[in-house]
Amino acid sequence: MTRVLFVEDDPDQIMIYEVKFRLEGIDLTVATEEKEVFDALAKEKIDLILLDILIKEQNGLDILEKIRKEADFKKLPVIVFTNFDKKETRDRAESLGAIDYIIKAQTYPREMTEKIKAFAKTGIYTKGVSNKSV
Amino acid sequence: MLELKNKNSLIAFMHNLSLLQVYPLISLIFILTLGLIVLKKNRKSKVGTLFFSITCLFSIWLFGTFKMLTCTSDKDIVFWDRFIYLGVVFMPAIQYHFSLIFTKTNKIRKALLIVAYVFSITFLFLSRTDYFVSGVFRYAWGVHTLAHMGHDFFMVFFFFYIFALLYNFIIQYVNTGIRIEKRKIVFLIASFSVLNLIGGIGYLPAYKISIYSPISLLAPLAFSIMMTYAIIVHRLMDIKLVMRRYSVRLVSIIIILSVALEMRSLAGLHFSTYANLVDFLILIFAVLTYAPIRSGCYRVANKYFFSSLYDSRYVIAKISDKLRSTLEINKISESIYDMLNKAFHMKSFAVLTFNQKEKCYYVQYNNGFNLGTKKKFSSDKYLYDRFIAGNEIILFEEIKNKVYDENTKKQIDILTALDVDVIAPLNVKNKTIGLLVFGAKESGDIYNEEDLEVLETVDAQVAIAIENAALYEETKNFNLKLKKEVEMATKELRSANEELKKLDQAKTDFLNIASHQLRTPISVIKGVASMFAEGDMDNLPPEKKQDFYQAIIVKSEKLEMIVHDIMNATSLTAKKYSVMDKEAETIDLRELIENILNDFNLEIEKRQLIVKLLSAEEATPKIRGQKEYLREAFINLLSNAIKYTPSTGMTSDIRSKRDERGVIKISLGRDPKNENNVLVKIKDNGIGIPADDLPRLFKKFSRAENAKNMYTDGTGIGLFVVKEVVDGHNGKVWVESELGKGSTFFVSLPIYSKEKVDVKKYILTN
Repeated sequence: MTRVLFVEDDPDQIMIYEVKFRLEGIDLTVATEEKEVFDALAKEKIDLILLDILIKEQNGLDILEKIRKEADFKKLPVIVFTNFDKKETRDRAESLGAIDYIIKAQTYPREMTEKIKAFAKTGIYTKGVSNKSV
Repeated sequence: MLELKNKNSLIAFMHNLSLLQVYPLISLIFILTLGLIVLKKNRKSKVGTLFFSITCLFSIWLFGTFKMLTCTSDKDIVFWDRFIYLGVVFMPAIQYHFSLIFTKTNKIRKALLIVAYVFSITFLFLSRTDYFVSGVFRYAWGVHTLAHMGHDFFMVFFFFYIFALLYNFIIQYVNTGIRIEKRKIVFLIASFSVLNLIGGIGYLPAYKISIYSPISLLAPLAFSIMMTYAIIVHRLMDIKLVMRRYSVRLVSIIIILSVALEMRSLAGLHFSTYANLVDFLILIFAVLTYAPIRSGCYRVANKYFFSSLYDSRYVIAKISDKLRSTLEINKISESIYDMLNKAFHMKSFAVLTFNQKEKCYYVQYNNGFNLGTKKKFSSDKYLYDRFIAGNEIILFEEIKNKVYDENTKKQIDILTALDVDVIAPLNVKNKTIGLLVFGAKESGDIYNEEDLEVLETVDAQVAIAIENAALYEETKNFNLKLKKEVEMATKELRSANEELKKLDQAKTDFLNIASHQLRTPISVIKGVASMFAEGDMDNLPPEKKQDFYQAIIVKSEKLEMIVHDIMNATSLTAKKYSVMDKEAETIDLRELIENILNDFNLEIEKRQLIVKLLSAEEATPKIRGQKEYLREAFINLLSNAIKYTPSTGMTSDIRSKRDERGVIKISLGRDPKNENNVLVKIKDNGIGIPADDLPRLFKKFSRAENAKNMYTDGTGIGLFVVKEVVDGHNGKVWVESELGKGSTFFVSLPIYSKEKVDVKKYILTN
């Protein structure tokens, strides 16, 4: 079973994906701050990280940078999952090895789970979402 | 003497003459030529005619002498001597007449002149008789007739008039203050004295005084040459220069003649058969070598003796060259100075440029004038009109002692003090460009005719060169100015661009955050709704379903709030309103705040907060403004207080175990610092604001760090709106806060002055 680490502080989002992932057979671990992220990474075997950017006082990408410093997690797949859209942020995400940058408001939970399941199965990840505004 | 074969009797005759006998003839020819030259040059003036008359008299004298010396019989001698007196009797009159040209004439002098002519004519007739001269006196150096009574009278007449003219000159000398005049007169006195005193020696043999009378024959020649030169040069002066030139030429002639004669005598010894051919060759040789020998003498003289001899053509050409080669006014001035200094050797020199707008002269170049810090000279109307406008050179000596009006006199005094000698105007096409100013020459000489001619020639070129230099300077300055303007404009553009970029950045930032804020609730609504649609929620327990329904509703509300906030923020920045607007109304703040608190009742209860509203006993002074905006501002302040105050409050006293409550205290009253204002205090014991965040608190999208924990959905626009509204109402908003203890927001607004309520002053108590 794929285990996804959901780094997010919005309780409504958490609520949605807890239900959805369970329905779709994806294991979900939630972390709302940096400490929780590293705890989770240490305790469990994480297959993929869904990373929000504006988390409480922290910046998700700073956390990612720290994650990448550890040898074990250099290649860990990370999808940036946020509503914040800025070119510099996208570039930084890419430079930190994120495999995708998705705007929450442009997607649906179903789409997310399909992408994750396909990736887990085939190892191939298809970038982008269907409802992308131009 | 040379003895040759018999040829032409005239030539033989010539060869038999002594130098003494030949000399009068030659000098006669010379003098008469001079007289003709002067006459030609001054046909219309008295100077010309009188001088020519004098030269005629000299000719008569010389011819007579020549004949007298070559004849032998007494009868002939007497005849020719009397011939001489035909001319000599008119000497006093014509000399006197000639002298009057240089001095003032008045009635007395005119009378004397007429008397002189009368006497001359009388003596003319008298000289034909024996009462004048008769008989012959032979002496070592020649012959002369003997004088009688008539001659004695003539002597008196002669010397009377000579002294008269010398007296005139002396008076003139004493009366004139002009240096140049004085020198002129000295020259004239000298010339006339030489003529008459030396010439007068010729009378002595008439009284049986045996003296080397031929010397007197030098007098007419000397006088003629001096007068000719002076007259032709017009300015009659610079005796030194005259003498120098004269002596250089004389030396050259002597050299040539000596060589020629020497060659002739040598040739005569060896080539006597070809005497004529030899003569011819020597003649050609002399003619050809005169010019180079003369310039050789000039150069020698220039180098070792005098410095004011120069070749004017060379100077002019050199200056032309230099002027053509530069556009810089300094270099031009330097070049002119160098070249003219070589010619004139002046003590000081300056170049002034004329400023059309200010009508004054600025000193461009100065070498030698003691100007101090003076850089500017005003333009004098008289000098301008009289000389400068007409491109006429000002000779200072000649004008300085005349009478002028006060302003001109002042100007002339300044120039005199600076020792200015010559001012040459620089004009181009009737426009005055500037002046060349010359001080006195080192040698003390005046600027003679040739100098002035050189100046005039050079003048025009200099004027053009300086004008070009000025135009060039102007162009350069214009270019510099242009560059500066362009730089300034670029700078302005750049800073405007910076501003725009900042604005743009601010806009982008705003849009980034705004979009994020909007998307957050949208993503929840979409997610939840899609899950309902796909049947994911079917099997959920009802409470859970309820949670999801709530999520949609709450987030939709949130969405509206955000849109509302954004609209506020953008409309505030777009439109500045004033309390003078028609939409302004009189507002009771207490009422306003009470209404807001009513709306927040549910929230307040939910959070278990205690809210107190205090105001002074009297009715709160009313303010004037726009109700909706003020309402908005206070809503933001109050909702902040509510949001950021936890139910237990933050001012927990560790020692106290009592449960604290979150408390919000709102007080209204007069502003103690400004009695024309009302002050609203909103004090909470909430989470407080970190000191670092205080400065930017009222800026758009600024949220305190700890606020994000407490209330994640803040837009950061609330306090910005508050500030804009309060500022727009001519009020002030500020905050005092301590992290972890709570914040107090202060709003001070001007009281509506038409208020009739009698308000007592008081200080707010806590």
